[in-house]
Amino acid sequence: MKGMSIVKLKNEGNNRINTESYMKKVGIGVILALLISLPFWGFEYLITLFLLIFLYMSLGQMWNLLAGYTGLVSLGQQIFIGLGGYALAVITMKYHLPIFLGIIMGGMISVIFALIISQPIFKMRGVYFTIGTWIVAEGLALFFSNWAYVKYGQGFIISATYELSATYIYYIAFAVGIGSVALVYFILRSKLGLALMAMRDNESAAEVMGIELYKTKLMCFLISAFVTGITGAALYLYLAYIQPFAAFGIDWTVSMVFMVIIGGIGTIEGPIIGAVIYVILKQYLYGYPGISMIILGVTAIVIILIVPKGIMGMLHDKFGLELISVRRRIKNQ
Amino acid sequence: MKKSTMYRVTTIVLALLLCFSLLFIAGCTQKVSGPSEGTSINLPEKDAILIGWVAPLTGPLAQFTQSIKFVEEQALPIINKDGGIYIEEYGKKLPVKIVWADSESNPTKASEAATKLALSDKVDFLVGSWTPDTINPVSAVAERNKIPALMENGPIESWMTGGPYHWAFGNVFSCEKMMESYIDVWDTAETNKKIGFVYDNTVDGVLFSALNKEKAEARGYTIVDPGRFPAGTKDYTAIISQFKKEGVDIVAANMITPDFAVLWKQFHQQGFIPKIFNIGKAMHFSTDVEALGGDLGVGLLSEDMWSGTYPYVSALTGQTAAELTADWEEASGKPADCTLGYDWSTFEVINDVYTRAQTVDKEKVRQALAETDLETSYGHMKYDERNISEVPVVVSQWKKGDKFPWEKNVLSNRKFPEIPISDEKLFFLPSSE
Repeated sequence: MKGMSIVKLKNEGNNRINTESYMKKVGIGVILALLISLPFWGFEYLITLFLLIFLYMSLGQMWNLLAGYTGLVSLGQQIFIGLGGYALAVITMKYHLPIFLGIIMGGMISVIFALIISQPIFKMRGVYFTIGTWIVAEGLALFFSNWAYVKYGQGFIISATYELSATYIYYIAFAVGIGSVALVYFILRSKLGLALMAMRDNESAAEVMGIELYKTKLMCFLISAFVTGITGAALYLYLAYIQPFAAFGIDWTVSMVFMVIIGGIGTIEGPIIGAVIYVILKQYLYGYPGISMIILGVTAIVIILIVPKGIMGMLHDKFGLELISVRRRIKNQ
Repeated sequence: MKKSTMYRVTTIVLALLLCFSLLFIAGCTQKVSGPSEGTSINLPEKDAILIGWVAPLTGPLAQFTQSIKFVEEQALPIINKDGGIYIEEYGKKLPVKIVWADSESNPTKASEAATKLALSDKVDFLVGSWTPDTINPVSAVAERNKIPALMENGPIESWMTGGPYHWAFGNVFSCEKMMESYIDVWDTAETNKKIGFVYDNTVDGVLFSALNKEKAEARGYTIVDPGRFPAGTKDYTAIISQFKKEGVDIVAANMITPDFAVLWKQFHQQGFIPKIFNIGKAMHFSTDVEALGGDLGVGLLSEDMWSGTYPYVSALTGQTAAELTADWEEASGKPADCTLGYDWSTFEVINDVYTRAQTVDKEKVRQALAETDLETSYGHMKYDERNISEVPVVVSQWKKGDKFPWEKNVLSNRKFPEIPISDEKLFFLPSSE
């Protein structure tokens, strides 16, 4: 009798989990369908808002991949945003080549540059790595402002983007944003993801178990550089004006840190929630000059004090909520 | 929980999706068919002509917007008395209302703020104020969203890299003429015609140094150029030593105010004062000159973009530049700077455009803007085929003042002869060798 009730409970538990999993998939499907069709039913401002949310979400996902899963806290992701933006500007304005080529080149140049700097940068650990990445970004800003090829500090007005509709840029942003979430999900479900989780728990133990720490970190660094470069190019497709001090400025990293910390570091949903909050809050705050930065700062402080693990971290701890779970589950026997 | 529950849930979700799709298709069908015969096209409700204004209200460029709100408070009651400007399609007068957005002195934020104004606030007209970091991205937003726009202040050469413009128009100045005006001043003095360059590597620094070199060498000057340096540099010893060695009589510089304060003090500390010092961008405002301390500002040359001595009259109030300046000085207790003329002229052009157009239709307003031919606080506004109305820029020298601690003498106006020159002539920097 006792054995029977245990089996019954186990079956009920499995059924509940299957139903939850199924409903989550259906829910995600509905949301994706709504987002894909947004330009057909949404007004233009909504399209622009979501365009920004997708792009910032991508930035947040990549920063989270490094900081939340790989343990590499970078203050230099703007390196790749700037390289991506300049790739787009040079390809379209100097060589009059298609925009897509500019976006792809943004990713390629970023990953090549990441490979080059990885050698010296990975010799630094902890806070030295963090500062090192920031210094590289500042160095690039200076270099670009002294480089005739990119018109020094004058930058480019990317007039090739004037005729682009918000819908066109929206679909690029959609692909980048949703793609970044999918990429992080599949990384975490792969062997690389298992290695990251092992490293996160205990680096020395992971190394003893045969995980190559350097290779794993480098792989994540290169992936995040590539995607951030593509996102940077897409961002400048929207912004249409690039100059080196803004393109390689620390402001970009401030927004990434805000999104990930508020949303929940080390979770896939965290950067999504953070991006939504950040973009909407910033849009609202443009109308409050002088106090906008204070409001942003106070918001960040209050949220961190109330929910130190971020909103998603809190939801997970309190309600066990996980919308995009990377955990493996034993199927119904 | 049984499988049947799963199917029930799926059915409900699919049913919702189907309803939604039907609603959507219904909505699309309604958009395709036009209004039926006999009905008039319904215009959206409108109670004001909305002007979206992106400006660096905070951040390093905030000094340039010091008079914007004051001018708004003076200009709007005049524009909106009797209810505003008559708009034909609404059959009534609509008041002009400014919707402000802070660019935070950052081009990324300028672009996002301008897009928000265009799409969320649905403004009828866009304004971008002060420096390429604001006017360049706002112009791009205007072109993409097809909104008539007016840019105030920026170098023509930088702004035109984003052209040709259809929707954006510029009250902008020519760097070439500015450089030539500087050389006109230097020509009046006895010097060894050697110029030392101190230009940072920002947009302005790179552009101005290249232009200056081209113009000055053509007029018989020798350039000593240590190269471009980053904004925020704290040590100028190498540059100053090079100038000492070469014995330059003239120094031409362009940098932000805090950097110039450091530079100029180091010149004094290292005992090298040239006969003439030309500083662009950093010393536009008398408060900046005051902040240098003591008499350090005496004799510095700077470009002059507007002042109370200019012979212009406001199209809104009928006041001369001197009277506008006096109003500001009385209200703020501060001397008037160039920003006053720019801000007043922008309001005057907006008022004139809508008064002539009598519509909020964007293409018609754009057309009216292109046909502007107006005497304003900042001179004659008339846009050429590049959508540019060139504003004057002359050269002046700072001196100790009578009414306010610091005042300027206009020294060179060859490119803009209507601007009166001071009776006082160029003097060499005190303590120069």
